[in-house]
Amino acid sequence: MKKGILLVLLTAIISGFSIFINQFGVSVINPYVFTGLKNIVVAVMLGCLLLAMKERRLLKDLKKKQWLLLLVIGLIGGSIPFLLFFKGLFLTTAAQGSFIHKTMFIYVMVFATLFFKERINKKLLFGGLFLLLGNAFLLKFIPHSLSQGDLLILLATLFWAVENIISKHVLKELPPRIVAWGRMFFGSAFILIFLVITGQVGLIININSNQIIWVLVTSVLLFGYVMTWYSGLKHMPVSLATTILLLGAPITTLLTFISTGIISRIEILGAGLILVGVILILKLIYKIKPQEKKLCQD
Amino acid sequence: MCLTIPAKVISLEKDKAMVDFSGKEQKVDTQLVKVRVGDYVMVSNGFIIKKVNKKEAEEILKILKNL
Repeated sequence: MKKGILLVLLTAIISGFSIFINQFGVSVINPYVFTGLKNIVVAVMLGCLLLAMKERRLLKDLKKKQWLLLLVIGLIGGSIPFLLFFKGLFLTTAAQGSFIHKTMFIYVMVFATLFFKERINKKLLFGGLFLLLGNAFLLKFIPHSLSQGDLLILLATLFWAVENIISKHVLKELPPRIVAWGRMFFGSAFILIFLVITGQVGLIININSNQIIWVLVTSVLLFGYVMTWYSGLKHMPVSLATTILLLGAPITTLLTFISTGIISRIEILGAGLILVGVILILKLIYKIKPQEKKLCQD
Repeated sequence: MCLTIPAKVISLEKDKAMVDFSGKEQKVDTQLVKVRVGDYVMVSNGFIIKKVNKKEAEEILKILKNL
């Protein structure tokens, strides 16, 4: 399981780092076009990887049910939630949206208990809640009410939670790169259909060379993100994996502190809560019993 | 990763800015990107992560409004 934890930690680092490097790039601000383009590039990269590893046969040998599950992962993980999330953000604020998105580990924990009989471990639950509270301090925000936009973001988060559960199930039989390819390939196909229907597909042609380079740079990061995520998820419980992802935002704060040398009191308090969360989760990882380790690989 | 839409800077105070998300205000950090009042920006995890072109920002907000 150590390998899985390191890989998911790497996913969180990539997530935290990718936000930090945005300041250096040229924007492609239409979020649907940007998400669609990145997904297409990553799907092509993963396709090339499969070809280079002479794994085309793996795709040929996929059963109908497995194709269907990959299609569902693309639909409820790689497309619909993005559409809901951005519309939700338009109706609420970034902090509220970001906080709701960070509650995903709770729904994953519930779904994992229902479908995989993963036990809700107290240390993991409290560790996750400390991480969530720490994140709220970093966002300088405590949620107070639920608007229509928040509900859309909550719905998107639930879609992603279900996607993680289905992915964990599919990863029992398929290698991570196939699951990642399925998510990006079918996800980008659905987003392209959405862009065509809403008349935004022409915007793809209008992006300039600097923006193309920026799409490629961010796609490399997204490639790293999905590869480390699915590879890690294969080797560990899905509830633990999604909880570790909460470390993405503190990593952005840490990188900012290293870069600027400035940190506020409220951020120090947030960092303290996150540290408590990390300690609780580390205690859980080191105390995990052999029979639970086996469960993690199922 | 990069799940954000444009917001408009409406006031500045030291290393913080008040931004407007289509009628809803939020205080954010300006340590990563220096901005001026009236700029359109992208916000993620409490930080302004990028300044964006006003025309493009208004176009995407219009698209999001009409969806």
